[in-house]
Amino acid sequence: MNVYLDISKRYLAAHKKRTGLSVLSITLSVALVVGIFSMLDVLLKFEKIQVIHDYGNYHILVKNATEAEKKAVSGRIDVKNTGTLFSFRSGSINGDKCDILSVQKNFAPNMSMKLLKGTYAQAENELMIEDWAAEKLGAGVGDTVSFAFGDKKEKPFKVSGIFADYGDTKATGEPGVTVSLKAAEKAEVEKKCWYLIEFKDRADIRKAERQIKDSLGITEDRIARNDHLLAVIGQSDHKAAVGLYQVGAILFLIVLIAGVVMIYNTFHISVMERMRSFGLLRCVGASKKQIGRIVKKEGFLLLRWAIPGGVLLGMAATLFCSALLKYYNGYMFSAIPLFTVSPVGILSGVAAGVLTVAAATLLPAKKAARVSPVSAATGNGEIRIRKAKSEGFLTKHLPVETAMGVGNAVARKKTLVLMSASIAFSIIMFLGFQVFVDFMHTSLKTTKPYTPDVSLMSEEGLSPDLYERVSGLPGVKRAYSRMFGYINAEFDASLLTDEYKKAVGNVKINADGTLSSPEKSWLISYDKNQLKWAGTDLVEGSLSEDKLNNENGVIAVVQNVRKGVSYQAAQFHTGDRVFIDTASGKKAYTVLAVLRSVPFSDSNLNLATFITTEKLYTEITGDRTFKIIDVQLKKAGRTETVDKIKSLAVDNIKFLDSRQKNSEMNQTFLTMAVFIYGFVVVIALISILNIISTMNTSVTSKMKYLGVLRAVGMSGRQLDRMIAAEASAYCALGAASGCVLGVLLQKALIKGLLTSIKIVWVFPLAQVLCVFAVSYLVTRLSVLGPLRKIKSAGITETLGSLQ
Amino acid sequence: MDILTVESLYKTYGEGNTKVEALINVSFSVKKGEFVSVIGPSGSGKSTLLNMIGALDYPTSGKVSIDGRDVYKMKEEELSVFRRRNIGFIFQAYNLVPELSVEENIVLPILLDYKKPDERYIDELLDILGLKDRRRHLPGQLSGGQQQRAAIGRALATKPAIILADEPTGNLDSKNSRDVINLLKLSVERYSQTLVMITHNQNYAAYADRVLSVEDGVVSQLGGNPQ
Amino acid sequence: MERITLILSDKYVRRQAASAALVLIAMALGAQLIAVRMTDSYKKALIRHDSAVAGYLVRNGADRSSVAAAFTSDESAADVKAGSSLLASAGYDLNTQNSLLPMVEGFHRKFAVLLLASSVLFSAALLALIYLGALRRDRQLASAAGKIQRFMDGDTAVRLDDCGEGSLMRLYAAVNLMATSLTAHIEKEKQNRLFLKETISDISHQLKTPLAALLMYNEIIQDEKTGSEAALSFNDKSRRELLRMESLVQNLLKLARLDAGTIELEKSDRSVRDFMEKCVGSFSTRAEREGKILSLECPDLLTLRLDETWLGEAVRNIIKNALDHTRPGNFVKISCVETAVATEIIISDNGAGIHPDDIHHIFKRFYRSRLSTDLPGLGIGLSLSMAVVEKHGGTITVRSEPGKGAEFRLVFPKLTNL
Repeated sequence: MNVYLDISKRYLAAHKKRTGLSVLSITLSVALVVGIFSMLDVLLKFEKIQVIHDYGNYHILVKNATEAEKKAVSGRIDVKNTGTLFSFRSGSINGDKCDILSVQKNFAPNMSMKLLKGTYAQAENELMIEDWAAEKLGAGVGDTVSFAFGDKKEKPFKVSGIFADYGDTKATGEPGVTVSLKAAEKAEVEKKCWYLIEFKDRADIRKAERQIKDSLGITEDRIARNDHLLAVIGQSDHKAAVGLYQVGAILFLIVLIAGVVMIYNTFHISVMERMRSFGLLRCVGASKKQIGRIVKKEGFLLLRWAIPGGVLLGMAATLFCSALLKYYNGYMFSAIPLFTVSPVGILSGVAAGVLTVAAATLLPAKKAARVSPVSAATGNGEIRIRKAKSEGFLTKHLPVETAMGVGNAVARKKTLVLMSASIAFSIIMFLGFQVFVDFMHTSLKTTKPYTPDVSLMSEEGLSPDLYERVSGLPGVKRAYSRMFGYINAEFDASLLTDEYKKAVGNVKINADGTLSSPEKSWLISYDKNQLKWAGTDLVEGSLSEDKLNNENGVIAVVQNVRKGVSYQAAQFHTGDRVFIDTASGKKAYTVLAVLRSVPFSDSNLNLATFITTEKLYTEITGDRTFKIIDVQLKKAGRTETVDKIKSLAVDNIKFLDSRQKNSEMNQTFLTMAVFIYGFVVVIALISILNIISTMNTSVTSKMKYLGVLRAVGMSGRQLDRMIAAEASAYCALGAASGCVLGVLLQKALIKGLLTSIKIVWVFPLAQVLCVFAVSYLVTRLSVLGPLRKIKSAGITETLGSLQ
Repeated sequence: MDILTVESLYKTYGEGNTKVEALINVSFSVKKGEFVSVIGPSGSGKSTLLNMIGALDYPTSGKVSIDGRDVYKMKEEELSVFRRRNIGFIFQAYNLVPELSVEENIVLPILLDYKKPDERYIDELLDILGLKDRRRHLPGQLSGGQQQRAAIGRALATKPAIILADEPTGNLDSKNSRDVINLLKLSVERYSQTLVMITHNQNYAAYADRVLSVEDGVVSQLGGNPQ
Repeated sequence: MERITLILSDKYVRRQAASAALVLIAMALGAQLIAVRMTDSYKKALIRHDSAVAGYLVRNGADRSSVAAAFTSDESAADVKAGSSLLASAGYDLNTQNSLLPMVEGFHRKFAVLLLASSVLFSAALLALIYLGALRRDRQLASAAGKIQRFMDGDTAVRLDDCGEGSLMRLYAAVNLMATSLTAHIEKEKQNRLFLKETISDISHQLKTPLAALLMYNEIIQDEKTGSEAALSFNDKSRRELLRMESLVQNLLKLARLDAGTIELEKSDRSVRDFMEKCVGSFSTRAEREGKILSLECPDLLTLRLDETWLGEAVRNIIKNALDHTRPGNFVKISCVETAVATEIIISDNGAGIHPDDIHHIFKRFYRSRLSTDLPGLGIGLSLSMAVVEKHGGTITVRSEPGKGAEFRLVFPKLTNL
């Protein structure tokens, strides 16, 4: 030893187990922070790709831009790519309804248009279709098809090229047709003309937007934004995005605080048990500053292993997650390198580690420095004689060793607070993160138990015979049917959202305050099973077939899909009245339940979506034929089964293949799930580690005290019970306060930040029970090790121990 | 010259009916190179007196000067440094740092002073203490007597102005005790140390040049040369 | 690493390092700020230049959007090549003098000045810091030197303020240790001398009584007229020896006291003449009896700061010595002289003189010449005289030739009379 500070190294080396646990804790903290940021980075990258795929790679658009405007914009220094896009109302191709689009060639890649065969439609009579549509229509490159805009006359068009499938159109069975720009410009039908703009990286999009508006005199109503993409790249004001960022920041802070509390705990106990040692150092001539430095150095020596370890672990975890995601969807995520190093992540991890240790060692260092040298001389620091306030309340009601254990825990207020706080924090974090899990489950579209793989649909209705046949097919797991149609529904105009009003334009309001609908509403029937499954999306009310039948009830749906974008038309609540034009006149129906969404979308533009029972549906529409049969396929022999079902799609029966769409949805979900569950696991690990470490340190610091008790006659088993009682006291207090605060946090987070996505807070009973169970188990198990050591050691050893 | 002067030292604990007067009007001085022993029944205030002299604790009133410096006038930091360079402590319960070896324990005060230990001097010390072949052992591997000898070594390492020993032989058997006392006396003579030692044992007390007796907080001289 | 902790334990070093670090960080920050300003300036100039070019081009008929695109689109290597050859033919390339490019000139000038100013500023700050630090250190050391001086001047309780960390403090601690050690030694010495003085005092007192008794017994025996020649002669002899012993004891005592440094001279201004007359006067009887000529020559107004008792003793010792070493008919001449720098008392005789072998040792105590073993005296008179004269700040010199006599000069420099 050359310098007095080497004493820190010795202290750490002499208590290997404790040092190891501390290093592990810090490592996990650092790894967690590194992981958070790195995975956030990765997540954003993946999300960006996802969003671009779903919504297109453009930032803002100008409606009906003139040539001059286009030229001015494309000449800007911050603009990367621009292109014109026309969108039309449904047209027909070879008699089938189809969606019509036209995209400028240079912007096609931005809209995820991948040309598989042929050339891009250029001439006035050229168009391109999806691969599955080509198969369905039996048309290939160079073939001629009959195509019409809207309800105009069909004209012959040449198929110049075939592009990759879109999951959405494939699922609805309406092919997406892309006509050439020339054709689009010439077509005299209702069309929307958008000039899409993609900005360069790191450009200030908001500023650019303002400049464009000002310099070209473009009004606000001519500008639209791709909020989803803007949110992902961090340039959005959209409420949901901001809310997410805030939640992320809060959780990061919580992780930091938890880390600090954890390390502080261990340090605190370790310093406390060495008070006499520090007193001795003071006698020998160490100044206060030197003692403080010794304790602080101990902390930083821990960092020497913890930081690199934590950073590597965090990066490894991120690597694992991105590998998983790439494995599941190599096609879409092939652009992302497997190994992403996030410098922000690493730096913040290091900073977190350093800050944690610095904050945690600060107070113990001060405490150690303040030790008076007399304590070395008198040496009674360990077994403190406390002023007993009340006499033996506990011993009257509990066996003595339990009472002592609990009394010990309660008497040392500071330790009690620290131990419970660290347990509580871990629990708060765990419960807090559940918010993300909920968010993920509900906001992201995922396949539900009743999401179909393929469907057979017909406007005219499907015979029950067909239904039997389909459900009888060997490869079919499940088949269920629905009726749907369009109705005129009127309700209180004040329930309409601004979103809808803006999208649709002028809305006529009747004298009694109800609106007269310019559009029809979609009515769907659910059978008993479907009603049951819909329970997971329930926002308000109850889903009982009988109740609905008895009280003329309907179920309103919050989120509709309009042109591929989900939005909310009207804010329904239970009790609202809806007036529907039925076969027998206008009748009043009550909203008895509100669902968040339905797992299918209509290509029509609807005012609102309602669900009711089959009986009521028939009552309202007079119709009793099923319109759609949903099929879920078994794993084996899919292609054969699909072919068989396809063969049943004759005449007016359409075959819809939702499988691609489903898998795409699942992937998004999976991305998030990997990220979030990964976190939950790490947090759980940290919490458990924390409990083990604190309990361990707490017991070893009482060696002498326990030795004395044994000498006085306490048996091994009584010792066990005493320690267990104390541990349980900490655990109970920590778990209780943690659960209370965690649940409150959950509630606040959900109510405050995520109500826009309509997540309802439910008391997490299962989680709370789980928390209690796990913490109790861990607590009990963690004291076993040191207790065993104490019991096996000779009493004089522990008494005379130099600790 | 007087290396230690104690003037009108009072130490009182508590108030009212829990008041304890540990030291009452203690005044005496010790010359450089003297060996003074302090005896008295337990609870008489001996340890308190030693704590006062070593500035481990503050008196209610009075003054203590070591090598001409008033120890209570110094600030905390200065006092630590002063203690490091001028006072050596030996306690009844050995008080070695359990994580450091014997040699490291001995040179600890030197290291705290950012100095490099004089190899020759340390070797000589270890030799005199009879710990030469144990220099790298940890305190846990030593007997009681060896530990106490190591503590003495640490007290001697910086060649302080004065060594304060509180019942150094309290935990030792008779053979070890005699060794320790002899060692102390040897170092007093060889290195011209000044030593103030508390002890129970009248025989050991007699090894000293002077004996002070403490009873109920009052210090008086017993025999020896007149002050 | 340990070296660094070692150096930094000193508060002075820490402070210097910290303030230097601050200055350097400020400098770095300043440099970065300047870089930002430079970038700004460059950007402004570039945009201005580009705007001017754009305006010019548009004014001269170029197409608006292609002009804009010229500045907003990425540069291509081909364009750079074409453009630079075009401009080179107009004399506008890298080799163009800066004076022809006012923008460049201005930029250079502006930032040259700025950078110069800031480097001067920071250098000044750094130097000032070092200077102040050195000043402080100097003051510290001067104060320590002052304290050490005080210690040397006699204030043995002074100690350096060494209760801090750092190598200077450790040095101070070592100095303090040394001071304590020294003081302890000095005290020990003092005690030894005191002890010696007391012992001598004791012994002399112890001896006085038996001596007095012996003298008395001698007298009593003398008075007993026994009529024995031998008895009378030996009585006489014993009396002389006893007297010698008495004088010896007295002289020893005096010498011991002088040695112990415990004599305090009581000096006062006296007339030399009066003083010498008294000294000489006590020998006049003896000189007459022995047939030697004793003369005194002394100016009237001469004064000297002296302790009458002790200096008288010293002078008398020398006169006695002179008388002891002369034969009947010799003279002992005593004179006082004042020179520009000193007052001198000269005692010369023409007696036996001092052998050249002895002349360098006569002032050593107990020294007796081999040639004068039969003469009375113990050899301490002269050393006593020397000690006393030296205590008066003066010195004794001697000149002699065997057979021709000796001349003793007592020289008292005027300066020490202050």
